[in-house]
Amino acid sequence: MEATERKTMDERNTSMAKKRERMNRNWFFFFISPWLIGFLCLTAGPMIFSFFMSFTNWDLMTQMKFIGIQNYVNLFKDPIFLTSMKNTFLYAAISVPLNLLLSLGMAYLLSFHLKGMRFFRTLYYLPAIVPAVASTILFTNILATNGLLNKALSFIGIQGPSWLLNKNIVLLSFVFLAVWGVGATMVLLLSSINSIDDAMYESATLDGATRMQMFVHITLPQISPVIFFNLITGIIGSLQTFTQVYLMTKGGPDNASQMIVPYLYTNAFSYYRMGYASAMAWVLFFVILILSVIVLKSSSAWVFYEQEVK
Amino acid sequence: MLDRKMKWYHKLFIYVVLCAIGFVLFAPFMYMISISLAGKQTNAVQNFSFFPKEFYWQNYRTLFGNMFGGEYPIGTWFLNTLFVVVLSIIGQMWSSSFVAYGFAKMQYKHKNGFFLLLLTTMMLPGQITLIPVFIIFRNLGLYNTLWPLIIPQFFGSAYNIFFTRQFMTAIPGELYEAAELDGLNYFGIYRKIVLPLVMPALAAIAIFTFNWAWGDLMGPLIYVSDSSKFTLALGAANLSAATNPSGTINTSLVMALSFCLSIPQIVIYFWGQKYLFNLNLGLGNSGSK
Repeated sequence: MEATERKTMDERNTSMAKKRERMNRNWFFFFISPWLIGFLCLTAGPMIFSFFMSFTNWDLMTQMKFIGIQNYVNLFKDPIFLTSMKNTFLYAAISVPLNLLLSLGMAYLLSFHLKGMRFFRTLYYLPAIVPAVASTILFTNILATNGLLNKALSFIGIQGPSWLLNKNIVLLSFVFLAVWGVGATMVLLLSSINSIDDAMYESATLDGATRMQMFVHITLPQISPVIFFNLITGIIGSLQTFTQVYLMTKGGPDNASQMIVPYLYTNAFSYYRMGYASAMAWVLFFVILILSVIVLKSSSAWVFYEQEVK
Repeated sequence: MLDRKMKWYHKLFIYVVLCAIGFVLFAPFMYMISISLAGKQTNAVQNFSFFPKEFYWQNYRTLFGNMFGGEYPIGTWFLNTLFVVVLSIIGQMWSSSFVAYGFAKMQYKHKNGFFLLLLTTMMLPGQITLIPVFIIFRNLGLYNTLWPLIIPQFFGSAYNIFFTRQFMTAIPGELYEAAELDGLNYFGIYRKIVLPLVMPALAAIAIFTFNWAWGDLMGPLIYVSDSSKFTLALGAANLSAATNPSGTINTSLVMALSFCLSIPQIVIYFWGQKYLFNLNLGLGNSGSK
């Protein structure tokens, strides 16, 4: 008698638990539904479509035709695409480390507890909040043949080149622009330097460490996670450069400053070569993926995390 | 850093370096203002001075002369931008808090799997989905409208959802239990308890979204073709491409517009600083005051 009663109680409990679990599941899906729908319709679905499209010659107008890996073969025979790959890598290879070094130096200077640091911090950050369109238009004028930069150079007796018209140095124009926006990287480094425990420096001072030694052995390891974050986002961001190229040089002169994303944009939205442009997007995706994995793998050698006992 | 024992010449050296860097970073702003105030003659020869000399305010009057017509209807462009920015902010604030609540507090055995999926999408470059999403909106008949710029914001962005979820998990559990005892269902808890509590995080998201939507060029460039539908950023980009040293659209006019384009973002930054820096999520100044 008692046993059967307990059995029905258990049954009721499990059915209640199941009902509760189902209800919880429904609530979960109710709340994440905006993202889930967006993920399916604006990310996953389009990705599959894009992958499929990269094997066709679709131009929005005519019938879509499957052409196998022809787009990918053509890409690596396309001299403009190869140039834009080279330019994009070169730009990333110059601007990312340069930006990191400069922002590190500036953050270090700003970390001294002196009067007026708040003012300098704001001043240094200001260029980073100017919209890319405005800063690019501004730098088009600064880098003009008799623009501000060459005026400053002539002040110290150097005849500046035509930055935007010279094939050999046009990529530097984008580097100047990137360096002006260094404040965005700097604020993160600064806040991470400021959050280092003073006790570490105090004990190092007692041991007779110099400022330089403290910087190399305390500051750098402590902020290495933020350096790593900036390195990854810097690489990804610079490989996707668009506005600067589109507005400042249009890829010219003679494609000397063409980069992957502006070239992709031109193919897709000026020539309507949707298949070809999709193939380009996938190449870019794998380039970003491979570089990110390399940086990630290397990070265990130089990024210091608190949990590790060294 | 420890710097109590700094000698006076150390301090002087630091200030000199700080001022030098500050000058280099500020010089472009000065040049921008100077160009925007240059007269027609200076424009014709394209030789602008570093400090403003002419104070030719007429450039600004010309720019704001015909707000809703002519070659550069910047009033229309401003309203278009405002429309996109405001709806994008609403979309992002709603979707991030709504979805983040699901990930932070709901129970489901495969929740972590979904969350991992969300984090993975943060690493996808936008170019992969750019073309298919363009085709989708074109087939929906939304080409040459501002809706393709707004609609995606209502589906949330992985970064903002992640950011809000981190914030929500810090809310003490007792608050939820008390609300459940009061007979609120999960939607009621979201609306009455969670939403007010995560407002600081949502304010930060509003600022991020403003910055992004205000300055975005690629989106409007792809979806909008009529000048009457332009945003300010696209309008400025187009005017810059149409610049003619001795014509009506000269460098000074474009520079005046660029200056006006920058001002709201700078104002929002100063006004929003307290929201961003009080979050203490590694975004602001944890030490220096």
